[in-house]
Amino acid sequence: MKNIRSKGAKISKLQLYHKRVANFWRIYSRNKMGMIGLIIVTFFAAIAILAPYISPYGEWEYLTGPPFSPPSKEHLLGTDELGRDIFSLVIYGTRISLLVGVTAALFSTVIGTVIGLISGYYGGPVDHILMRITDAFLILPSLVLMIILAALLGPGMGNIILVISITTWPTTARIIRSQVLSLKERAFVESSRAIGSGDIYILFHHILPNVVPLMFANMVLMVSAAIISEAGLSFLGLGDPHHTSWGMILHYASEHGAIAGGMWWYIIPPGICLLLLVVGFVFIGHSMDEILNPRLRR
Amino acid sequence: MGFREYVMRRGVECIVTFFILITLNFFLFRIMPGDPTALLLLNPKIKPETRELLRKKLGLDLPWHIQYFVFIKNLFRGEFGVSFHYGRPVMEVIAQRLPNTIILVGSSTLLAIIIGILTGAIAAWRRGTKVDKSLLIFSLATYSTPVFWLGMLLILFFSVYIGVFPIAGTTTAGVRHPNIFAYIVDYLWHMVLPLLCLVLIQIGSNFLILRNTLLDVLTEDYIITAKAKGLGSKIVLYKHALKPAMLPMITIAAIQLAFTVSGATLTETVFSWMGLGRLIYEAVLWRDYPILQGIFSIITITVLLANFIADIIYGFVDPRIRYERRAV
Amino acid sequence: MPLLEIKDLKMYYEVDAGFVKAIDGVNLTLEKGYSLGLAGESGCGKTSLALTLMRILPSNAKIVGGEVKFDGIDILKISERELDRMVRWKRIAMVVQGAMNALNPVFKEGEQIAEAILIHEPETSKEEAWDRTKELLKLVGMEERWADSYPHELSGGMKQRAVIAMALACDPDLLIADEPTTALDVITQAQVLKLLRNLQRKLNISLLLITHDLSTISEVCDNVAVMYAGKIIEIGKTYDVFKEPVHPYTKGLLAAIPSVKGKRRRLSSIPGTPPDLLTPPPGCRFWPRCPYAKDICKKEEPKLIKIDKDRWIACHEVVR
Repeated sequence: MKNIRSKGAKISKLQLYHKRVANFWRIYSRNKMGMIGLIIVTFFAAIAILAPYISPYGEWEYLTGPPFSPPSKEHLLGTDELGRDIFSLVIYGTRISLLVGVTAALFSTVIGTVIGLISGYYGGPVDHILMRITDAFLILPSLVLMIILAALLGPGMGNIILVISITTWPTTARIIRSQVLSLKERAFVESSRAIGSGDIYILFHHILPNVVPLMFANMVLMVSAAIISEAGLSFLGLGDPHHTSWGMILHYASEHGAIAGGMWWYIIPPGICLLLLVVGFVFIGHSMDEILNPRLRR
Repeated sequence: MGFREYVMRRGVECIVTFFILITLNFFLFRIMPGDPTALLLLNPKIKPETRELLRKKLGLDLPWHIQYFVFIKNLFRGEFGVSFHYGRPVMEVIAQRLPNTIILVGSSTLLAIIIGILTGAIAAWRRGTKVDKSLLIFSLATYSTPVFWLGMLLILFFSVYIGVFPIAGTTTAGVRHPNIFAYIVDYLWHMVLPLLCLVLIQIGSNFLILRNTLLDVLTEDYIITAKAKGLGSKIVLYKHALKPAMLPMITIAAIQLAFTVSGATLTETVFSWMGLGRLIYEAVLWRDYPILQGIFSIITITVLLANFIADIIYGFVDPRIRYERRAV
Repeated sequence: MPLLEIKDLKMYYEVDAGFVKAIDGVNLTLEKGYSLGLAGESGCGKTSLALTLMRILPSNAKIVGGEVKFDGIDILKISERELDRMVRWKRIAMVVQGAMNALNPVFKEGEQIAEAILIHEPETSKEEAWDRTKELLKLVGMEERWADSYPHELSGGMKQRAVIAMALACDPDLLIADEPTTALDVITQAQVLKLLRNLQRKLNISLLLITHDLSTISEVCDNVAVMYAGKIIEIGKTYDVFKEPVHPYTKGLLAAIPSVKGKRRRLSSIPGTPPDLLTPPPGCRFWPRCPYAKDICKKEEPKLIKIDKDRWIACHEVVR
């Protein structure tokens, strides 16, 4: 038995994955939309990492200038109600938006994938119960649920991440589950079972690798949803007051009458950053979808 | 399986989901830090007699598993307790705000669905052309825009700079309208910007979904046959391609309409539109838990009902579900 | 004058990497009232040919050259509108590959058949169209009541018949049938083939039968044309070609059919795989797999030459 195994394993698993990734990259790099998205996201990631070095003022430096002043040489985007430099705030805001977005999407995807795998593979009563719970969450408007949960749990970044993860895993679960269901019927699973492989083995060696690409494409879109959710929650005042995020900036802007005061420098930049970052992830997710879904291709 | 079995199966699933959600609602507000329900009794705005009445009605001194059944019973009677902030029954407060949300969000959803479908169809039919690409980019951009920011921009531009539309509110504050028409005009004038904001945001996803579904349908063999029949591109697109592609849209449209009740919380907040969505924001601000709980219940019922009706309609319209297979 | 004359037809698909030469200089003729079978492996361009004739190609397909004369008119040159009004379905009708899915699931069969009639003969009333629909269903051996049902309610064989009925709705001169029996079981296959044969004789339609299954051609068609990698390499009367195939490829195809009778022998197959039409080999496209390949085969493309009455071959080895 051992001989047969080692004879066929000329290419190691690692090399196989490497080849697959290289193939994918070859197609992906040709996709204009995908590349633009990647550039945007990388740009913001760089800003987030380098924030302390590139921002002219600190995140909590008050009264660096008169409050509510319009853009000037010292303050590229003017100042807020506490005299803080808005340009620096926007730079620091990148960190929270990215951090919360990616972390929440990660948790959400992991939970959703695990549940989708179990539900799709084992079927039967387990599937029924899990799907009923999933449906229950899917059916509710996520923002309302998030607001209520956030209100009950109180402010704090961990809570925000928790709240977003809880309300978004069902979408992933459903998608993964249907993928698993169609994979289950495929011949290679049946033959694997006929050889006598155990369930866990099949799940990890056969089903999971086929589900991973879908999981990634989905997670990317989840990140964009999470970023918008965090912004929305912060805007309503449910965010973490200890950190600046773009949503929080807009919250304070709104609270202090920036709209009526016509302070476009306070309002427009954080929103544009949100828009661009989300567009970046959506572009990546959309092009991954096009590549992975053969029908959408030419 | 036939239509009847389909309806019954969906009905049972709905009831199960309903109980899951109601249970969630019940526990959420009892086990969260601060025990909101206990706070209800401490509200100084309520008169002592009312407090006693509430205690009995909501069964707050009973063991919690009995409270659960009381809760459900009260739910069906529309009894959600009294608002902390307003001191009035929750149901009353909700009922007052509901129409504004339904009018605003209902209209925007309908408009967004229609426009989304038409543009999605055009884009899918002319896949790869400039029209398709620009519509795609436009939709992805609006899909990615935070709705509250868009609202702020609209106000900034149209109300503050140009001054054409009002900054906030459902109607102009402190004005007594001479007749119903003046009221309606004032109302609609205030509705323009929030409506625009919502429609722009909602178009994106409708467009994308319909475009994708239609692209799938257009690869089917029956479309090739329809073209070969010499029907002409208009008939092929609108009759043969759109009709199968619309089926999933029915469900999606129904779900979106179901979300009407939850309102567009962010939009209503930005525009100070006195609807249910803004009520949620206010309730969070004041930690007014009875209202939150009441809204949660209302939303649960509305959404479940809408989904159920949507499934029925879908089952009716899709002949594959309505008619069982007869021949072999 | 022949009903259909295809001269040097070229159609390429444009993809990122270049052009896929799906049809590269095809010549064919079909006389009124006769049936021609077009045989070839999957991917050789047969279905592309059908789609090109009806001009319902995807957007990245380009007709690069040649002409298709139908009853004297070059249908590659006329406008979409004229095609819709004068040619499609009225004179040339098609049964697509995978008739299972040729019927729109959200409309009744009868409606789809009647639709064809009403579009091309607008003076017909709805009742007349419905009556004719029922007649058509009877013609293909189905009961009238199926006109009122939806496609998913029928079995595979019945769907195939319904699609044939739909194709005959406007009394076309030419019927193109693309793989009409592929997805069916053997018994239903035989029934459908018999149906096609009878209909063709009875209604005096010309039939272009496209398939990879040679046995179906032998049962139904008067003549056969063999296609390989976008080119026609042999044409002749079915009986002659099957009895004595001339082109090495045809020989290989026929030799590959296992025989139940006679001595037991090994299954023979043609070695190698069909060429990549993105970059086809120079010269004769078959030379990499041909046992008789010579130098000239690798350099010069053989032309389709008449070697006998009703017999054409494209091969350097044979034509000398």
